[in-house]
Amino acid sequence: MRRPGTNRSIAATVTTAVLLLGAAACGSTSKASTSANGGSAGVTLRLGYFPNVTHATAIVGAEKGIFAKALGTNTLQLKDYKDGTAAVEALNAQDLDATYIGSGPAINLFQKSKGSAIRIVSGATSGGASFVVAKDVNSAADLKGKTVSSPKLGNTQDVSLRAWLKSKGLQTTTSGGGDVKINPQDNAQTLDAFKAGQIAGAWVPEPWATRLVVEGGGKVLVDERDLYPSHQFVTTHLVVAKAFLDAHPDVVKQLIEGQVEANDYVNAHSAEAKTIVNAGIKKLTGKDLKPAVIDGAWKNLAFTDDPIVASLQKAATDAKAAGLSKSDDVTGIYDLSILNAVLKAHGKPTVAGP
Amino acid sequence: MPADSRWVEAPQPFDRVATEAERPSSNGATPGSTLERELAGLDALAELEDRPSLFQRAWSALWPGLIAIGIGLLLWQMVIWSHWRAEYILPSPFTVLHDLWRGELLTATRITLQRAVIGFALALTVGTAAGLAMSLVAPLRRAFGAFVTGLQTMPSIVWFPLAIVLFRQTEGAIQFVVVIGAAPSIANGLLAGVDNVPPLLVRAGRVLGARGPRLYRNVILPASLPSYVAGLKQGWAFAWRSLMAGELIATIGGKASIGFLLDRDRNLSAYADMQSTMILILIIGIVVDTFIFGTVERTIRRRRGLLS
Repeated sequence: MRRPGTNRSIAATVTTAVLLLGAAACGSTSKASTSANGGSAGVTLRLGYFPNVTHATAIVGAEKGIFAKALGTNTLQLKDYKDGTAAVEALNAQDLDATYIGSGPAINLFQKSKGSAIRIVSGATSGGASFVVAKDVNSAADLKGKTVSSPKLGNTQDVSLRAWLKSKGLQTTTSGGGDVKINPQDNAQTLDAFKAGQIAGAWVPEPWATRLVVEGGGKVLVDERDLYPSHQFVTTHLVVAKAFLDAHPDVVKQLIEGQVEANDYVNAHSAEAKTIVNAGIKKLTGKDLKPAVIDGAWKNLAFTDDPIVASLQKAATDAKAAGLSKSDDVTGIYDLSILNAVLKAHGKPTVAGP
Repeated sequence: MPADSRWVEAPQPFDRVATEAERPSSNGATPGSTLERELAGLDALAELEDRPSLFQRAWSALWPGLIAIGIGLLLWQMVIWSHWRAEYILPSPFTVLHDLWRGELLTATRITLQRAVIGFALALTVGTAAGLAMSLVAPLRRAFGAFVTGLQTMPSIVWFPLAIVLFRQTEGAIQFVVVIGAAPSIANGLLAGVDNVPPLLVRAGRVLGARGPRLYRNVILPASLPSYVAGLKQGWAFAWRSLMAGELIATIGGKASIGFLLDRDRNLSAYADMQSTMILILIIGIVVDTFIFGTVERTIRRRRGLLS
């Protein structure tokens, strides 16, 4: 039996298909035409960062106009994100060209895209993450059967937390089971839950680690720096979409010039930098930090252009051990040639590659 | 599969032709009047004309679906070919379908379906009780009818912030939202069914002596069954949606449910796994709708003579 409607419905489906494909094609071609021969001009760089103290370099670079100046005739468009997942999604949706981000999401994106999505082009911040626990917790063993928090499953601190618990013989599962239950949640919620006694601790970046101590009455059980031989590990680095790096290496160089200058400023004028960062955080989140919190947080951070390559490998190994990733291979994730050229031009020591 | 169904269908029509054809010839063996026999013969004729073989029926039900799946896969693959997004973000259908073979999906399905069954059973109880109470007691209905309809139109996800405050991130929070999402539809389905019972049926029931509870049990409730089942079906759809939303929002210690896997793979940039989990959600939806609610609806229609 052949119904008269069949042909028409097939035709409608095919038309829909063609329309969809057309839309898809338009989406991909609309902004592909800005190609660079020699020097880029009029290119828009979309740069992401988070309203965290660990992103102080980015906040200062944005608020003081350092990035915009370094980009010259190219345009800077700033975008702020809540966390690494949001920034990665923006990169994937081709809504972002470069971002400040932690090691966890960067490793994930690099591995899942088989190296096609991003390159790390510079370091920005080291340190500034701690495992803060309730007063009555004195060792890892005291945490057995309790719940602790991290900012987001698979993020930099989440990986560190799982690896540290594992090194103490405590098992965790990604779904929040095991000897110690890990319940990833927003840092603001973590603070509330910690104050209310619902969680026994949290592995969080600054300023939250200091806020848990100052406002939540907690104590630092692990300062993450102590887990690394050099006492340094990468907290925030600068990541560029590989497509953008290939198309506009000169714009990336300008961005890195800005990054180096911003870090110089932060290191040379820490009092002013703190004020700028606090004002920047207030602008993005509507709430500023107490002076005691920003001072405390600042002490735990180091602002360096060195991406501290060895610590990234440890993060990748930890992620694999925690069952968050199938591989710990991060070969090719770095492109530090531009950074080293910039550093050399400024008469600064270059950074070590992998 | 095709070999199987052919094996099953082949003998059936011939069997039936044989038995129906024998009946008129073996006159003495069949008890009953001539009229009855003639009617049976007519029925058999009608059946012979209308009923294609099982294989034909299965095929006629299957091919449009298969073509739709084919078109869907082709469209998907065409988007891949257009290089709109990188392969790791929007993988080919084959990669995604291959990722369906993950052991963790089995565990996740068990955890999620267990929640779905418990939540839906709760919603069924609450919704049916509320619907019955409101259909029996008019003032109750006047008081709460609009309220229940209002609840039904409320997207259940708006209850989540409150549920998490009340129950924290526990099973209770998820079940609370599932029940509040599904129960109003079930109650309203029952109410609408009772409202639309033809008065003729009620009068006939009364004439035959059914009063009070018996009228309800033997006339009104059976007559309102189709609408009630439609309410159940809608309730299930709401329950399933609420459950997925809940599992995405609330991580409950140690339970790697379907919604949890979706959120995890989003955070870990594991987009192929994420999309295969979505396919699983689609499959569960289709299976429940076709095999559970579809069967119930068909049974009701058959009992009413709407389907042979």
